[in-house]
Amino acid sequence: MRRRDIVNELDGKDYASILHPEKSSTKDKLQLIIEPLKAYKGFKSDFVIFALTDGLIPIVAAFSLGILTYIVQRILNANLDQRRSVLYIVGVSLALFMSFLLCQIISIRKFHKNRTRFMRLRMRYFKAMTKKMGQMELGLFENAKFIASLGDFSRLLQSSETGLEGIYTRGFQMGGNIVSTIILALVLLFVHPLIVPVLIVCGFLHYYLGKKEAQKKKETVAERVELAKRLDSYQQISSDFRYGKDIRVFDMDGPFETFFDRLLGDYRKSLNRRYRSESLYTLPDVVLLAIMNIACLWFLGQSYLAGHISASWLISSISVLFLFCQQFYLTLDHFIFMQDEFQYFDDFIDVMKADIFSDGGEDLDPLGDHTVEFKNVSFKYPHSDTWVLKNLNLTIPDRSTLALVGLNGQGKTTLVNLLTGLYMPQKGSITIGGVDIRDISKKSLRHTFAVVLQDVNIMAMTVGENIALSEQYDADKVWQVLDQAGLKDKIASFEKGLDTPLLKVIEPDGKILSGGENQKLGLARALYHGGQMMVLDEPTSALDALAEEKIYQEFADMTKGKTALFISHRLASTRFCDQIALLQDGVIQEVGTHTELLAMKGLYWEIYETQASYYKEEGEDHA
Amino acid sequence: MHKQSNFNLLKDFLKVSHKVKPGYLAFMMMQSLFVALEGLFLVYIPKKIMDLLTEKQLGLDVFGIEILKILAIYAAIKLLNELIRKRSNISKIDFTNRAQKHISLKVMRLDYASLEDPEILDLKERATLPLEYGILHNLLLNLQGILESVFTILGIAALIFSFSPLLFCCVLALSIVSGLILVKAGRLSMDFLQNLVPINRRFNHYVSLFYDDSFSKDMRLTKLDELAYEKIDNYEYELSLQMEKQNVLEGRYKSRANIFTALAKVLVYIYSGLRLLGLAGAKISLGEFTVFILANEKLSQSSTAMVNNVMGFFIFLKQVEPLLDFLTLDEAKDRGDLQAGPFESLEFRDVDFSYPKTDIKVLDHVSFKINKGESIALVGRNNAGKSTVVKLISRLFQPDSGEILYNGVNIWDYDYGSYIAQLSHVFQDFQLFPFRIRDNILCKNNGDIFSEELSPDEEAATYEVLAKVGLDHKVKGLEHGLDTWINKHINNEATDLSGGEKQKLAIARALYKDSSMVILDEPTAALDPLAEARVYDDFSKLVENRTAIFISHRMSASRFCDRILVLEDKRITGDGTHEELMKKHELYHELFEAQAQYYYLA
Repeated sequence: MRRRDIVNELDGKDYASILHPEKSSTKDKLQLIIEPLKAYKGFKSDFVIFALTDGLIPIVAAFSLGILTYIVQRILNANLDQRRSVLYIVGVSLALFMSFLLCQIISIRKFHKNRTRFMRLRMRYFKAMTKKMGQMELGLFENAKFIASLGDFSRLLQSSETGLEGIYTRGFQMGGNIVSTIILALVLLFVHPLIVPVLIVCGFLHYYLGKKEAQKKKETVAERVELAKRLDSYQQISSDFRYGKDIRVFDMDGPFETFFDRLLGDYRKSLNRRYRSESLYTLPDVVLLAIMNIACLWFLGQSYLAGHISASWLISSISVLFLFCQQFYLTLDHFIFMQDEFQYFDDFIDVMKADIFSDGGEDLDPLGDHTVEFKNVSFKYPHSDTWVLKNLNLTIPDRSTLALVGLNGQGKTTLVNLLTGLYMPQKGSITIGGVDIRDISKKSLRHTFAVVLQDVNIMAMTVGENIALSEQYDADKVWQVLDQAGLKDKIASFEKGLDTPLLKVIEPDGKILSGGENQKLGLARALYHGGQMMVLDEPTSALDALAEEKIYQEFADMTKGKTALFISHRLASTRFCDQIALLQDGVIQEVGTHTELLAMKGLYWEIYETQASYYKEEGEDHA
Repeated sequence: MHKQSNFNLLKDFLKVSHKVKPGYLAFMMMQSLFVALEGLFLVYIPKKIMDLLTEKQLGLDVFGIEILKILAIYAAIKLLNELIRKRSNISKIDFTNRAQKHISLKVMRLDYASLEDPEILDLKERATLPLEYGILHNLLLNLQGILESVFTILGIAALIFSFSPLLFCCVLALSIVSGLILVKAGRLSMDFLQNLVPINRRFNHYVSLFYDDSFSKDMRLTKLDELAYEKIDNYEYELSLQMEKQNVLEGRYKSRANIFTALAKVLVYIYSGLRLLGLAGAKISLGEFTVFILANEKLSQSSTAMVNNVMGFFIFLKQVEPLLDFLTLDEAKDRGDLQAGPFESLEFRDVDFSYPKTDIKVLDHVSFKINKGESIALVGRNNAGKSTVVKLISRLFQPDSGEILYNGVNIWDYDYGSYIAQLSHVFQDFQLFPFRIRDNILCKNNGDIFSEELSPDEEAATYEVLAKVGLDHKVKGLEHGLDTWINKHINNEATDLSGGEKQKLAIARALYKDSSMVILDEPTAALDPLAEARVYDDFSKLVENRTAIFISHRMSASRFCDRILVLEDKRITGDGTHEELMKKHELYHELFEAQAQYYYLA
């Protein structure tokens, strides 16, 4: 099965409508939340037990006062003696104490036990999402517009307080609040029939105001997201040590500070706008709360004065009233929170469903023919009208080396992107051993190509892992490639050898290699990987003349029996390749051996002559 | 890094907060005071109601007016609190943003030597984490919580104490015991979280590789994705194991602490029950009974909250330590006060240098002199110390011994501004400023350059220098010309300059500066051969009689310089013209031949 060219298929289309065709249903979201919980045995009973015990705590608290006053009144009425009175009071208090403690201990236990589960569930989705990012087609990953249209997909899984884990935790806690709310409501119904309706009406008005406020808040969110991004980038740039020299020698710290103040000022202004709009709802909300309290207390007073309830009931009722408000509002807050967080499911589900990775195709025969052929290849990047490659034709014969030279910005790296299957051309075809690159599986491409990129990335891992790209590796082989790349002595000088950690991000005693050593490490990495084809994109740009010379001399050895593409903007240094091709204006302008190209007297000759002129007169003496 | 005591950390925190946002802590105090007041009012309301109904035996209408009054006051406090709370949320965000700014300012004002110290780099990376993960925000929340509980406890203490000093002591003792248990639990979880920090850091680092633009190709072309995923998986497993332990432990301690809170509660019940009966002291009213029990409830709540907040505060304070350490690093001081004049001569006299915290000598008794108007090529192998020489001249580092004399005076005796004004640079790893093209060329340091208009003279001069490097057409062709921004992350309408164009801009910036000496370290690395040739050919025109130091791996570059200095084995081993060195200097000959050989056979 042929690999799909998702990048070009999507180019020019409205990403948002493709990625988010319709909002995922509440059922989908609930399923995402509930499904994994089923795997945990005893979760249901944990939940019920927690809800009952946690829900009882406020009830016990509310009735303690009433019960005590009731007992006191009973004692007074019964005219008990002092010893028995004290015993009564102590006994009742201890009973309250025990029930209170029991509820608390059980609910705490249940809650803490399940918290770990919630974290695990979040991490499970988080890992799946991270993996998906790593697989996403490069053309989509590098496309800022596409990434922006993915939305805030990681928000759901970023923190333990919000998003999925927040929903789990709050949902769990809400069980207790609902139990309390219901019991307290029943009690209040008994005290005065109008209290609960008033509370519920006010509660929903409060909920409505809260929603409105959140909406208002959201109106200014977009501009702040934009501002925050700028602020964030600027913070990174202005605190980047690499700017240190230029800022000092050009004495530019002043403008950096001025600009920072500007960004901060803009951000503050936007926050103040938010403050003004959200404050609008504060007054009505507080007035509502006051009216609610006045009404309810008035009802209580009415009940008491009418003799419906006793003084001890009155005491409990006041507590019940306050606790009901507290628990009811908590339930509503949890609910608002969950509703708010629910929206982040949309982007996450869409991203997880999105078709952003294409696979398929067959495996290349590692021993077979690896002739590379570009046939009438045209290519442009998404969102661009400039064709980087135009009807380009190029052949690299099996087991031969080709040097690709050309001025900056002519598309040498683009050609590598196409050859290695990172991008696909809009027109024409690229074949390896006669097989179209679209028909070759990604796994096989990865096996086939050993690539040294222009900028070699070093990871915060050990030297061995950096080269083998695996936690388990063949140490002898690693030493051998290090030797070939000219880095053996350096690594051998480290106390821990291949186990030496690199970079300081993770291990404070990690080693930092120089630019040239990084390039050598990149070369060693490619050599360890092996593969039938080698691609080297300016692999010696950071090396001095002698170190560069050494790599060139070993080049033949490294590429023995392989098909290789060598990219350089230094013309003369490519003569150890079988063929040289000059890329200019999106096509291969000149191709041939060094001598043939000079004989053409074209661009290659021109560049060569310019460079040579600085060495020439001396050279003639020595030749 | 040394570990600081909590007390010192707290001191640093207060100092830094004051610097970052003066007056913020005072605002927070006021806020806490009002929150405490609201809480106390809630204790008082039930008592008032009980008094009104059971003692005074009021009618329903009088009772209604009374609660209207009380709740009006309550509503006023509540309204004020809500507004303050919203304001305070904004202030906390602003506080974090400003802390970010102070990190940047610190980076710009440290001694340059610190910037090459990996420990400082590491410290800076760690300093930004508390901002990214909202730890600073949590720290502020905890601080506010502490203040709230302190005010509440003080208010309540006064209340209960007047009622019964003995009981107050009992309740206090029990609160302290439960507090201590919580403190112990807090300590344990603090250690736990501290242990989690490195695992978390690793986990986050490997996750970030998946989202990092610069790793995107490695992820897709190599097995890096599998390796990074394996690491993530392992660290995640470890994290959840630790969290599980932590949760179980935390639950256990919370339960234990609860025993004591509940015990305090029961004592209060018994005591106040007896008082209500008229035993163990004067008989109290139902209203007093209510306020007493509620006040105790509030007291134990507040003390638990306080312990939690204090623990949280110190846990977060520990995590903020790198930020505090970084923001309290000493800044560079200007040492000299002489005014530097135009270039006459520059001399290295017996200069020894090794990078701080290493014992590897980079320069060993280096001596040379550069005279006015000369152009010097500095040649040597990788890591021979060429860039180090540049850094020493630019006062980015100080020699260990020996002197660098500018016009016969030690460069460190000059006022920094006047000295650095005499030099202009193109560094090997130059960076353009993330502003507009014109800001990058004019490099003005005074006033608000972003609101200033460009004067016609400045515009003409800017285009003149752009023409010299061959960038004028490009800039004129841009919609906003010299006002075009050059960083897309900072301004959406910014242009994307290619590597070569950026380098040309960097050269233009150095040429525009009214200096008398130019230092060019690999200034053509990003240029293509033809553009490079243009720079070489026009070299003397570009530097315009200024004294110049030129460093390049392209040995051809040394051909158009008056004099060549060869750095080898930490010393200057060659000093002369190209012809002289080709004859008598082995390394120079070898370096030149390595590249030149490709051009002979043609």
